[in-house]
Amino acid sequence: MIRILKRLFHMMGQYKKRLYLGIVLSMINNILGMFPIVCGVWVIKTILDDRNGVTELNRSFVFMLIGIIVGTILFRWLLAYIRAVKQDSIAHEVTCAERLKIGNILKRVSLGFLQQKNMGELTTAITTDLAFFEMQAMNVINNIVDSYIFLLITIVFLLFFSPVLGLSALAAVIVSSIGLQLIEHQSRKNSPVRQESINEMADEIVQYVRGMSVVKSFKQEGVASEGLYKAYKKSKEINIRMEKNFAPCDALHRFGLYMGTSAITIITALMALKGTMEVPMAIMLMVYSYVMFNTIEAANTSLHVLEMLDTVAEKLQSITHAEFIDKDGKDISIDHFDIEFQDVSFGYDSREVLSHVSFTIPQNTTTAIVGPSGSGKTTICSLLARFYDVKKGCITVGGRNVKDFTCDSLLKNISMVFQNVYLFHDTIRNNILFGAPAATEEEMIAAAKAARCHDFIMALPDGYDTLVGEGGSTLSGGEKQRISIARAILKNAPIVILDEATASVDPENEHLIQQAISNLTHGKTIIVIAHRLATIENADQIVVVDEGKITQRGTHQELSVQEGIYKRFINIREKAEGWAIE
Amino acid sequence: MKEKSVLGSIFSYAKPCKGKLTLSVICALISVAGGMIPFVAAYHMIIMFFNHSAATEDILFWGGICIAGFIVKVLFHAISTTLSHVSAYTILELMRKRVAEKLLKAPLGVTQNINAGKVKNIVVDQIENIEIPLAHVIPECSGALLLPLAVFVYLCMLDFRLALASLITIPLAMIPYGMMLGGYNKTYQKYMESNEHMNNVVVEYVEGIEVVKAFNQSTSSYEKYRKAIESFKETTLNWYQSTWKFTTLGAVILPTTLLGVLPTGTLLYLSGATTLPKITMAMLLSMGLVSSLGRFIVLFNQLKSIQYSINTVNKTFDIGELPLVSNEKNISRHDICMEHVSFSYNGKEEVIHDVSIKIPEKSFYALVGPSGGGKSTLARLVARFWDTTEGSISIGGVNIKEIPLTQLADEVSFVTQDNFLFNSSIMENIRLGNPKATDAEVLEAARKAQCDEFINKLEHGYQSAAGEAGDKLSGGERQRIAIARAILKNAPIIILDEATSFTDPENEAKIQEAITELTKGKTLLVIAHRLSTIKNADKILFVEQGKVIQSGTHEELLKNSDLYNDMWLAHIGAKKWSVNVNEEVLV
Repeated sequence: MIRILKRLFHMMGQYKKRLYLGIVLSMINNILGMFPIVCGVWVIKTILDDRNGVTELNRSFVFMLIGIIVGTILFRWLLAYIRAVKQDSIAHEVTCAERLKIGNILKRVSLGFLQQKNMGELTTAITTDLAFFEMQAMNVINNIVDSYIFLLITIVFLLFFSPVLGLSALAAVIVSSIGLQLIEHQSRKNSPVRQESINEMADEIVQYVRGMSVVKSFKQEGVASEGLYKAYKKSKEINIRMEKNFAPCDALHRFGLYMGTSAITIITALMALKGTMEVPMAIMLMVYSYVMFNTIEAANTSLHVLEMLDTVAEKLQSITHAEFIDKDGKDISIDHFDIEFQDVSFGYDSREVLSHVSFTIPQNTTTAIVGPSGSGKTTICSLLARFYDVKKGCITVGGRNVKDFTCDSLLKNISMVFQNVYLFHDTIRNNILFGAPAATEEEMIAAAKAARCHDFIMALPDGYDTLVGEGGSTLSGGEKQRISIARAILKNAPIVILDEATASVDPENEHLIQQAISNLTHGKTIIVIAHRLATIENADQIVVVDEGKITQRGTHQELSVQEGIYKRFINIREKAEGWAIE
Repeated sequence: MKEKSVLGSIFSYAKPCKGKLTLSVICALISVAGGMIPFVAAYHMIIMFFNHSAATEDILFWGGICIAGFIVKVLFHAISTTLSHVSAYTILELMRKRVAEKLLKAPLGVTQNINAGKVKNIVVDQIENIEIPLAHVIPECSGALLLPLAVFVYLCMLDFRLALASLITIPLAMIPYGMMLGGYNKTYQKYMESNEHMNNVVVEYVEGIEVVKAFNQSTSSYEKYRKAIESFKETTLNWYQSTWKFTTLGAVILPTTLLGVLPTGTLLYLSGATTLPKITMAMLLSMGLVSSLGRFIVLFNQLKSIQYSINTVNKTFDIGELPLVSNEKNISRHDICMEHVSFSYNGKEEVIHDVSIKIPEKSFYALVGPSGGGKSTLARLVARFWDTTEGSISIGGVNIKEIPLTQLADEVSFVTQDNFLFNSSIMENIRLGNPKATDAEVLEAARKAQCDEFINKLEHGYQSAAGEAGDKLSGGERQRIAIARAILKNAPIIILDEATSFTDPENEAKIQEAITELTKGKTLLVIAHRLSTIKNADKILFVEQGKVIQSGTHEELLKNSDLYNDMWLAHIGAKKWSVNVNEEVLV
């Protein structure tokens, strides 16, 4: 528990002072909360005195009582309000800061890191997990720290007052903290299991939704929901099991505290009987014993939340400890754009994807990369854009090692047309402007025209102000593709990396896409993962990749007379392009 | 959809665990009653002192009663909460199942566009969030309601004036809470909206980070992200700040029950209307009220959050269902007939206008035309992604609205680029096409779809998990698995969205062979992209602006249609196009 609290305190960073202030304030508040009880004892004593004729009770006493209690309420209100403002607000500040920190990290890590992390998990960490932190952290810290300090003060006071009472209270706390220890042990054991079941459920539901169309057209509702329902059930069972384990420990914990109350009641009564304690005092202690453990009981309910907060903190830490890929990078400007791979080897994990790849791409030439799927074509392009760092060898652009660049200064030179077109949920204008935010309206429209987007955009009711639907779903594949090309044209980078497969997602208007690409690649250094015969035949250089190695290299004329993958490739391609059903 | 009351909506889900919940309430009540006993015991001890009649054995006796009361309290509380948690998790499971069922009933056209992340958020997070309040609401509601009630009744028996005085803090505390609640629903909604906005921005930032990096726009994208997050913080802080002064005041007043009891008791004593033991008892009991009153506030917030979650669940999935029929129809022919079909997605702009087409059994029809012209929509209407706005579509003479969806699924295979593989083995992924198929039949379908070779190359062959292998499979391979699935299903009508992208040539050739296998002897409707693919069609329908404007065979259209001719020439030209022909196309 202390370890977790320490960790959470650490997360509060610059706000620690406000946190401590809040704790002190609520301490005072709690002590003030005992005032009305003291008043109660005072009332009893006064009435007893009155009955015994020691003093006389009158109405002004009543007004004084009301005055004191109302005064206490107002003062406590003030303290509580200040505490809320100073302390409760910290959680919101820290949450905000953490979210920004992660966002900042994502800006600077390698894409390899992102792929390991899985986007869903990152999103959950930023949204759900931190929201939980935001809502619960202060409450929990406050509850726990408060109640323990308060109890400590009480026990010290009791020990001072009467060692027997103090020791009974201490014994009660010890018994109840055994219960607490057990609870903590349970939740530490179960927390990851529970988290796992939640993740499983999340995976299943995402799969369920994504596969919905398939499920329906194959009327396989049963099969699809089976896994989902299994995950539901598992989550339910784990939670119920946790609850069942939790209940007895919780009972022990409460019981310990109640025994404290009982013991103090009985002991004070006996002491009063023996005359070692005055009756009003005894009554006050009895009454007090009924409330002294209230706060700690409340804290106990916060404990499992504390464990959950720990899991969140752990997760955040694993994200924030990411390596920045360009931490040693410098802003470098280059004036020519020759690309060279020197004996490059690379693997995503232990599996080697590329081995000893070497080739050069002179400025303003076209290089076609050809090979079966899975051969490493895409990896070559990813390495050039430094989505990953090479394991061995080096890649240079304009004579400089890509590792020397910052990500920004390297990517400034490269335009990529991705296989997965991602458009932002924003206007079409802003999506295109993404390529160069400083561009004028005319430049933006010129890029749209060059990418053959202008006509269909103008046909939309809101033109360039049309909002692109979630993930760009209101546009056809070809249209999205062309917008992404417009974006790249606007960027106007000297090097273009292109996966030609994307060029035919929507072949009904493929000539439009082709024109768009021609405008994009005009006068550039082009690296294309090539599929079309015509593209390959016209390339200045063809690099044939198979199983991570370069097996053939040359022009179409040279390679088409060699025996090898290339020749086979060309033959099949020719057939495929003329294919017809039946 | 009208918003149901909170309890109403909870109970609509709570039916299966009625028994447990009742028992939980009973146990909660017993626990509350047990919790009263120690107070009674203390009262008796105090009276003994006032009467100077205290003796050791009496004190020990009442001490024993006190302990017994606590034991009852603890024991039944444990039972009650366990039962209510079990019920709560059962209710959660049920709610989650409802969502899944609801999704299944929605029209295909709708489900296609559902965002998986959003559903995940609702099913996993939102619903999970209501567990704690839900589990606590039932026992604590009864506890928090009943304890004050029991105390109050007991106090009334002692002295009704003291009883009323002990409750004075409730109306007093209601004042600040009432003031706060003025705009609660609205503010809460605003908060949730801001939250949703932030979530969307975060999702986009994370998912789009690849693009962000590629266009080195991390700074500006981060700016948007930062703004969303900071504005959410502002909204939250403003909201809380506006409530703090009220909540803290209420929270301070409510438990100070002695505020009423002490002065009233003293006054009554002064006028000789009550006695010291009664005042002491009232003090004790009113303090017993404190803890349960405090829970009212918590409960209130919890009820609100439950209501919000349930409303979200209800509303988000208020997505309409296709009117369903369950009687299987006898379909002996497999021709398609569209009569005067019009369709609009939103009830406003029509995208299909009065289209009538007859596709004879086992014929090969193709839809061509510019993108956005309506050919995909037309084809999808046949698979009943949506219902037509006007006119009718029939298969074998039976209106598809009269055909149960499962039977329609048997009748029509819709093959698209969307090749979703489930996270089970490849074998099971193919078997989806026909769950009754034997292994041998699955292998046969895989062989016909040209999958056999690459599947056998995988480490675990047909038993490889498609999820993991999914990353290793190329798009073309995944597509072939999807085709194998369709082959196994063997529906008499095939609708093919032939948007085959270029994969590597070997893949492509194989996909083509797979499609040839799939379409043999079937009624075939192809949404054509590459004209060469469909040049052998029995009939090509040229669709533009939601209408069929020309039709005929490839040769006929080449002769009679300028539009088709242009498209064909563009297509031929496209085949010869190359990335690196360095001439700028004039704008």
